[in-house]
Amino acid sequence: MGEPSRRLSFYSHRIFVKIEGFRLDRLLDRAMKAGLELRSVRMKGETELTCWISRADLRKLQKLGKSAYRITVLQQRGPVPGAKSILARPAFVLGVLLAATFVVFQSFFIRSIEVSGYRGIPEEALLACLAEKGIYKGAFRPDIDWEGTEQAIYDAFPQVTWVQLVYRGQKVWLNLSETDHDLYQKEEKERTKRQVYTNIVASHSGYIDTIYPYYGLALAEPGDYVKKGQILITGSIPIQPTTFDEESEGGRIYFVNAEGEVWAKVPYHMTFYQERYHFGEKSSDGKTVADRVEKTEEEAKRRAEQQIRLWTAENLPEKAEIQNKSLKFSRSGNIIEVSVLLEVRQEIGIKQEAAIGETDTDTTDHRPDGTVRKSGQ
Amino acid sequence: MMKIGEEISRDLDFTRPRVVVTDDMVLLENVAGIVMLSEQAITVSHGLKHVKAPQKVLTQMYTTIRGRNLVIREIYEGRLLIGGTIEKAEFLQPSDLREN
Repeated sequence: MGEPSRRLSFYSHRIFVKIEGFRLDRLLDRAMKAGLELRSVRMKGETELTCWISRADLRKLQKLGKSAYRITVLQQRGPVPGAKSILARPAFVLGVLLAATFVVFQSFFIRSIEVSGYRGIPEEALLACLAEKGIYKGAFRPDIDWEGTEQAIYDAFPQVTWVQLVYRGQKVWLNLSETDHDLYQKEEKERTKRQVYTNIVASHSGYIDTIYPYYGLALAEPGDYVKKGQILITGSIPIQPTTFDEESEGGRIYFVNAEGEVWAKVPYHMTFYQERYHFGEKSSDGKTVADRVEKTEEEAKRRAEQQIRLWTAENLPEKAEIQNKSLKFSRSGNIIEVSVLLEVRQEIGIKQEAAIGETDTDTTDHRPDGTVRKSGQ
Repeated sequence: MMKIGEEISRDLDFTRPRVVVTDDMVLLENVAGIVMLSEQAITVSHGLKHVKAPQKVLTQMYTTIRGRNLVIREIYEGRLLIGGTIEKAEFLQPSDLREN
């Protein structure tokens, strides 16, 4: 095995030579026995051949050939000749150097900035903070104080908990993590705002007919008389612990928005008035029979029914149903007074909001009839 | 079928000519010297070798590669890699050379 430096390869300094002389086979024989490496040995007649040989072996070959052979260098290849040929063209070298310098130099300037991880802080504010510390598009990167910029971000935005400012090539990444300072406050407000619950209260006084609590706890039963404003279904539900824990005696309260349907029989008392007489009663031929004629009971009743219908249309809800009706007529002077008692089946449950802070009074103000009154009602 | 011992002994015998031939390349190994060189023929010697028949004598072994446009692609450490159009490979002894 020869020395690696003498082997012909793409990286070695190799020389293409022409050898002239008689008995070239003897020269090659001596070269082979001397361990020289020859390549592409091509005979060009009886007295001439060409071949590739390394620079080190060429000196040995020249010694072996002595003056009997003429060795002419035709071509050289390898790093050294290549470098020499390049250096022989100074304009080309200068152009390459200028291009390389331009590429390297422009890599020192920031081309883009990417910000990620922000939630409450506007991106513009972060970019402005970076710009104040000299990080902007086109900034000279070696002049940037990276740690100082990170600290500036911490100082400018107290809600920032972590900052990472890194660059690769011409791009800068600002990654940060912030607490939900502002968002937390907003959410807290919203959460506080939502800390109300609703009860179903009675819109009219009456006797409970049916009660369907969908959410919440029913505080009245069918047959109970409830007054207007009384809580019928409460959204404040006490939860009794299932374990025997002395510390949690009294349990906790669970708040819901109560929903349900409460139908009740609501009595309505009202009085209608109508004229007692008809005036200018005429016969079929157009002659006046009498100045005034008293209304019969049937006529008064029809008129009262008409008045009740008008009142019902104006005052009762759509699904209300008149279950009982009592009319009492009393005549005095020119007036018939009609006392009406209606028993109307209608839904009386309406929603009423209550704040959780007032739950103590709500939940402890139990009335003897099983209902709960909200304070201030 | 050659026995493995015989095969190893032939591999380790550096005086015996060894030739690998393809259509456009010849690899000559155990080359002791270059005897003759032209575009049509390349003759190399493999050194002295004992020959038994008809009597044991010490004789020179030669190999000639004949063809057209022969080129020695590489000469290195007793090996010749010959390219070109290969026509014939001959193994010669001095008596054969005299006959030719």
